[in-house]
Amino acid sequence: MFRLAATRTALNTTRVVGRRNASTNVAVQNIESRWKSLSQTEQNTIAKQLEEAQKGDWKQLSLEEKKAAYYIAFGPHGPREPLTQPGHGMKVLIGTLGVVAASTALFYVIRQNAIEKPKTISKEWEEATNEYMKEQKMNPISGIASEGYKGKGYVVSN
Amino acid sequence: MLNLLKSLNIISPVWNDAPEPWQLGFQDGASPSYEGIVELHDQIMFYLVIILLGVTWVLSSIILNFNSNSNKIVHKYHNHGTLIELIWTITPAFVLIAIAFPSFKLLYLMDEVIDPAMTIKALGHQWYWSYEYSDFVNEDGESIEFDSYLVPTDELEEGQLRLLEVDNRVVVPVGTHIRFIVTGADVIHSFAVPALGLKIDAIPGRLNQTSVLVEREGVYYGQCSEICGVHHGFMPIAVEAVSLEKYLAWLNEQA
Repeated sequence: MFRLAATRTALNTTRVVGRRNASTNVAVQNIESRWKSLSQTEQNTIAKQLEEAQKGDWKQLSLEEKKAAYYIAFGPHGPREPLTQPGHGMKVLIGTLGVVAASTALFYVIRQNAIEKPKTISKEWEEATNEYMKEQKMNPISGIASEGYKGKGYVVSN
Repeated sequence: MLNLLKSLNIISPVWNDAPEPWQLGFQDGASPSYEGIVELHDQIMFYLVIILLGVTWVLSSIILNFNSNSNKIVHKYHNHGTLIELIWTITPAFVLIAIAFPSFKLLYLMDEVIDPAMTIKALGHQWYWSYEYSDFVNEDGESIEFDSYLVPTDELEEGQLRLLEVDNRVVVPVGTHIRFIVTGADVIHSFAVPALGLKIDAIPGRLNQTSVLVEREGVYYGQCSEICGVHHGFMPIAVEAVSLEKYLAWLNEQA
């Protein structure tokens, strides 16, 4: 009789464990898509159940349970929620290029309407500046008044 | 490659006593202070390169090895390391010390006014400079004084530098320890001549002094370097260093 009772108890225990695993499996099915729609209480219950399940042998966990445990611990929810949606980088890039293009256009509009260049910005003047600099012995070590100097000096206009 | 960069004016191989178009490097120096400044710059640049390489290596290692694609849970466990924190705290401290020592040495050397043979007072006005050679007096016993204004663009002779030419240059002898006493008459200006390593604020009610030893003849251009009002960009400085004989002749002309 005692043996029967003990067997029954053992059977019952197995059944309970089996039932619990089954219910967890249902609860953790496809958790990634459902997680955010669950209430706080439901989330806590599932998390706690999984925590308990992980205290046992991990090999006993079903694939769904493993996936769910990983998702709850490391998945993109709560503080790990991505700050931006996919495609955000492209949006920023296009926006930045747009602003740069607009400012370049504005720059050229202003340049078009600006007053004339000073008379010093002309090739003739710049060549004369070179001569003037040589006369003044400007930079006699490595520059315009130095021996064997071959650079363009102040000439930048065409 | 170098020639291409030069031809596109991206880098400039010429270092003048006056700035030149697209210049990125230093002007050619003509005083010991300036040589000191360039040397300090080169020393600091050495540390900058080391810092740049170190930081780039650390950052790129983190980005390549510990990004969310390579390792999804690294943020969970890799969040503290005493050894690395000690390294990145102590190393910059040593780098700062290594930079600070030559920097202070140069600062105090430049601050020293070495037994000057003559003194020039430079006064900043809105918007011109005036100079006074108090060591020399004319027949009436007055010291030599003159104002130095920008030469307007339409009055420039062909070849002269726009916004840098002045009507009266500060003439100084080469190889002479000169003291500049600098002050402002109205607002704060700054007396600066890059090629001579000179930059000192001209503050009303205060006399600042600095010294310079010009090592070669030539003309050295500078500009007011403290925003002083609407014509701040139109009060240049031109220092003409001449031989002692020419300087004495110039003095006679002034008297």
